[in-house]
Amino acid sequence: MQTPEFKGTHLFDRLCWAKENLDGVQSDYRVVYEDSVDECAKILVPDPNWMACALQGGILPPVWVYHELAKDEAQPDFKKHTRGYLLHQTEPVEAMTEEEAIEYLIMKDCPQGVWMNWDSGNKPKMVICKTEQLPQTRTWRNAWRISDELAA
Amino acid sequence: MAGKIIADQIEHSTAGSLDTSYVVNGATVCCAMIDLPNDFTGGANTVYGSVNVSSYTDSSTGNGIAIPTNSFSSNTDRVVVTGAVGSNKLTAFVTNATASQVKLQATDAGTDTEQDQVMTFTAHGDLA
Repeated sequence: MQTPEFKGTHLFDRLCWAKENLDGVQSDYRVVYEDSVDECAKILVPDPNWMACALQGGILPPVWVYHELAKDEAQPDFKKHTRGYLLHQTEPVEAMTEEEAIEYLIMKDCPQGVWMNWDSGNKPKMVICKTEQLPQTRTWRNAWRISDELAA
Repeated sequence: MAGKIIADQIEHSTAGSLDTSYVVNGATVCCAMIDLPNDFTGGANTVYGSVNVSSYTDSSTGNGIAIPTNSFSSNTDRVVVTGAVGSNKLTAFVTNATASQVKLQATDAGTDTEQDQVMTFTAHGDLA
């Protein structure tokens, strides 16, 4: 299916079009990351409707738009977004492969301190894996860590 | 065929009229059902029935963050309604979430302990 010409269309309207016209894609990829030494590893799971948008192309804004909005939110006097137009008026990105979509999602939804320095310590702070590589039982979920065997 | 109806009010034959601003301002702008423990057998943490969600982050037992594709306009101009699937379960909206997060915490209502379970939420309000 061809994506309509969405330049200037509100992002939420584009997502509603996708929900109505595209089948969700359940990705098998997971992103495991640690952003605090005192906390267990976190697992980022792509949303199937979002993944369908990424694979389709012409719907999602470029990832730098989210970084601009994140800068605004990080200001101590932040009250309300005033640059939301960046989401709606910036030309949407082209279709991505599933792997490219995961990279985009990492830069959008993982803390910047994790993905920008993922391999700067004694072991990786972040790992992309498949679902079957995660523990099969959640009994000890709060003790999950990235394995020391994955030394950078 | 795609089209657009522009109207400020809708009127019922006997029940009166209503401003369409009620519909626009009250609509769900973000929602999902997240299956932490794999009750629906699609895999742990599978996201179902979502609108305007890019990912879900499983932070720890019973805790997670849904991240909207189109952020909210602020940390406060939204109402998040949470639900749980199954008896004696609770899902709470965690209030320190930013405009680009919906933080959720699932607990057992009897013991008040954090617990993996199926969580649902809908969010209403202003988008960025």
